[in-house]
Amino acid sequence: MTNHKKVIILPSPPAPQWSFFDFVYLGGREPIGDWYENEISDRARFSFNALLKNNEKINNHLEWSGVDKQMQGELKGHQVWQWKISGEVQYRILGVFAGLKKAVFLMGYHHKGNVYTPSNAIQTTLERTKLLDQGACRLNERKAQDSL
Amino acid sequence: MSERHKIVSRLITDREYRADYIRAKLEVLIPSQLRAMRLRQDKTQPELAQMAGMKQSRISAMETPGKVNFNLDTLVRMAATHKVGLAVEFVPFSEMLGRENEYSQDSFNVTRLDDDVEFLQPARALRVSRRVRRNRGPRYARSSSASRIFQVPIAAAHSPYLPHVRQERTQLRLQFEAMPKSEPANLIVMPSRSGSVSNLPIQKTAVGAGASYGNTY
Repeated sequence: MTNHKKVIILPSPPAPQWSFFDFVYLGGREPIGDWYENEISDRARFSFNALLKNNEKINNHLEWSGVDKQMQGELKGHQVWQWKISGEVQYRILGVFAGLKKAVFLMGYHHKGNVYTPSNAIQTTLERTKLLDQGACRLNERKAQDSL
Repeated sequence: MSERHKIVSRLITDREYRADYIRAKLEVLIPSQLRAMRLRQDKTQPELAQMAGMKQSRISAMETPGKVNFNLDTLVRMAATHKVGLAVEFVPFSEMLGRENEYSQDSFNVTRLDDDVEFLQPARALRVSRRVRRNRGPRYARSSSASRIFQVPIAAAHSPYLPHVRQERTQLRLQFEAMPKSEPANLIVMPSRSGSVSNLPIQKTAVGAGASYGNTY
């Protein structure tokens, strides 16, 4: 073995992808699923899926595309981040991290100017954050819809 | 009917829907690629803005999905700033989706012009490619990526590149001119993928650029 000079470089195993989950109330209501199905446009739905597919492969969440990591106002200090989804209006989805390579979407909303829809989006997000911390919710895994 | 079937059915019939689909993918992939190239160069947005002659806010907007309507000129400008090429092409939907699925911002790496041996020194790239072919056997003979395996950054000492490249090209031309006109074209029929090295055709007459490097089998 002393004369064995061949060096074999083994590739490091690929980093695990991110898993994304929708917040679901214990009663069964799926606010993120409902928002995705009924509230956003086709274009925004495509954008959301493209963003999901792109970001799930990025190891370092600080390098995610289209993300606000430092929220201001009432959300400041709650470690909530926001994805910006392009469409006819400015769609946003708020979420938090929940374990290793796991992230939970808490609230989807959109705004045009200063008009937020729904208007209580921030308060609802904070409520859901608490429920998540207490384990008083369920999670549905979300995958990009048009993967082959 | 699954979600995917619904999407596909509508894609077939609705032009606007198709446009939204294409736009959504580009709106994510282009900013992501720009971001990946900047991060790979360890540049901050202000640094890149200075290189590109733009404002930092513009760079930031370009890296945010959906914030900028890219026109061809902007893309060309960014490609030139990053010293990479740009290929805009129309492809089937399957290919577009396949590329999106394979794309990863973390592993996205485009060889910059400074390191692009294949472009700067095509003769050298060809030599390396042939060496790979000889060492690896017939299976790799037609691999266009063979030369890329051995791509190495050119040391700064090699610059200026152009005279070097010109010199190589001159040599090549002379060799081609010295070839007898009656010789067949510079084609070597390679064995099938299942063939072994011993099946390689014996090349009696040195042809082409490899002649001066003893590239006979």
